[in-house]
Amino acid sequence: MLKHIRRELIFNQTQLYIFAGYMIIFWIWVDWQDISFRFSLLFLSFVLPLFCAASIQAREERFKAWTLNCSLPTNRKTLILARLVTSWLLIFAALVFGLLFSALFQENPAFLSQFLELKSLLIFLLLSSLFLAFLLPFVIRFGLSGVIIGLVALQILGVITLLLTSMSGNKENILRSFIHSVINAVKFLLNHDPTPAYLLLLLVSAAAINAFNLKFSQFLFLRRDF
Amino acid sequence: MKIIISNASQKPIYFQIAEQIKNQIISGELKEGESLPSIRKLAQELQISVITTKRAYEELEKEGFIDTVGGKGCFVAMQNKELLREKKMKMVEDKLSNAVAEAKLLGVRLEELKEMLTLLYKEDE
Amino acid sequence: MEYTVEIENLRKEFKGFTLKDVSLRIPKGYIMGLIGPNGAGKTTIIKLIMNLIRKNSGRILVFGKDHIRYEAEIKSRIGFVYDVPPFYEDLKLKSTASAIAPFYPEWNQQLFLKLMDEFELPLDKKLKKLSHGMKMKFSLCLALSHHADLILMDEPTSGLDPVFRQELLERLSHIMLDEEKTVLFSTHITSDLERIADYITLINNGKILFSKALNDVLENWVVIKAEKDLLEKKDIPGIMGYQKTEYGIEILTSDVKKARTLLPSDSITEKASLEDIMYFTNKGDNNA
Repeated sequence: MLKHIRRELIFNQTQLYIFAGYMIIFWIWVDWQDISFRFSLLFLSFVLPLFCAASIQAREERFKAWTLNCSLPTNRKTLILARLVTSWLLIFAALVFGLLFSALFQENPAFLSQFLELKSLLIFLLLSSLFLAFLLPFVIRFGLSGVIIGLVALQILGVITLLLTSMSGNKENILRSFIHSVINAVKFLLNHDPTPAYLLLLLVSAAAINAFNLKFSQFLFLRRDF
Repeated sequence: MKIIISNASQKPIYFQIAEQIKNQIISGELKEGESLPSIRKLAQELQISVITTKRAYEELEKEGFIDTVGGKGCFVAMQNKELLREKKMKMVEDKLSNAVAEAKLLGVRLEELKEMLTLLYKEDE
Repeated sequence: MEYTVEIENLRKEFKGFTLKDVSLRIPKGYIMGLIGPNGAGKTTIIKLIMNLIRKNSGRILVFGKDHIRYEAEIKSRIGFVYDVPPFYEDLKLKSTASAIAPFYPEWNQQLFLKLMDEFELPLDKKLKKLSHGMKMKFSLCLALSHHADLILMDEPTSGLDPVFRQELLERLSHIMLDEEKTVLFSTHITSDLERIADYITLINNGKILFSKALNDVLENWVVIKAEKDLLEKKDIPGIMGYQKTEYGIEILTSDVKKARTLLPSDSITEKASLEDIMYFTNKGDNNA
């Protein structure tokens, strides 16, 4: 597995600097905007997997490097496991990097102090696992272009919903209520008592989601023709 | 060892190779016991298929011109002195019959021909 | 005879193209040329061997082992040179090599550096700065640096200038000095193979037309040039394709000996080149 991780890191080395740049920007923005913790957490667990997994995948697609990767003395299941492991490695590296940056350069690292609680960390783990479990199989099956098409489709859907609700004169629209419920869910998770049972539940759920992600992604990848 | 292959010739390439090596053995250019390049080396040098050189060497071995020593390579076989002389005689005979045919076409008489032969033979003495 | 690759009844379906009943054996220690027009299925066969695309049915054995069950083990002995070098363009050559080297137990760093030097490839340059020919050379360099026993090459010479092509072919014949190495070389540029291939497989429209020793083919296949109505008058054996022209007919036959006995004295026979064979068998398909 080590040689796989090394391979992924070397292949994407140019990307890592860009990524570091994004992280700095994000952290400055979080401090500046004074956004609620739960929103920042949600946003972080959305953005990090996106950058990590998606950028690796994008590069692979751009250079058709899967031909190379699949020709190496390994099998497809291992390649996917490596992809997942490397993604997590990068997510955590980015997190550590960001938190260090915050600790060193921000006057009032509010986010930092709240984030460094075990409960917050585990919730972050859970949320980003959820998002990664959606992102990785999707990208494997449809490629990055599929993601872009999906995003565009969502946008169009959003616009249509807005139009419909404004026409019916109703304040509550589906999109808004969806986002509200998501943030409320995060709020609920954060407000729950950090009992050992709860923390364990968070950890186990995150692990289970990753296991599912792995199996499903491997299944999809095995079926692809290059 | 000099080998020149012609793509234009009707004779198959393996045949050309075998023929040229044979002639060189008969004429003494290739000595008894001398080692020949491996079939792969020859194939590489001539830029042809290994199968071709293999076949050429197989022909030569069949006719007793070369021996293959396992692990060591191919060598010019110890020639049966009588057989070799016979083969060389045949070469001379072939060349003479060419000369005779040409002479007849030209209208040269046997006496003239004999004179020519004697002169040529005595030239080096 | 030991076979490095054994393919039996391979089948792969695509929309609009099917590879069917492909059976092929590549003897160890030789170069097998895979020829055919564009779209005939050459790249498909190589991708199927490497499991880059999944077969519908059939069996592929490499080094005597099933190519999927022992995938990783087999690939550690295979070097590949694809028509489009699949590398990260913004990476340096040495970084690319460094990323893949640990996957090959037989990787020889000394040999790699020596080959890079011989091929005149700059370790510190990024791939995007290289010409197509140099990228192919790099591919070959990587393939040779881990002592691969099987080298698969998909159209390695197309897009290369004649000097490069000659260099590549010379490099290949040098490789073949080692009787443990086997090469599969697919191309539609037949002249490259005429000098160097030991065996030839002709494929067209997803089917294998023949797979033989090159000598057999070049010695026995001829193009007969004769008067237009020859085919109506005589039954020429071994016809593989023909072409009618303004002034006569050209027929490709695989049996020169029999054909010569039947031909009128004013007809011409010429040794068939691989290009002739590819051309006429393609026509033959259309004429049939």
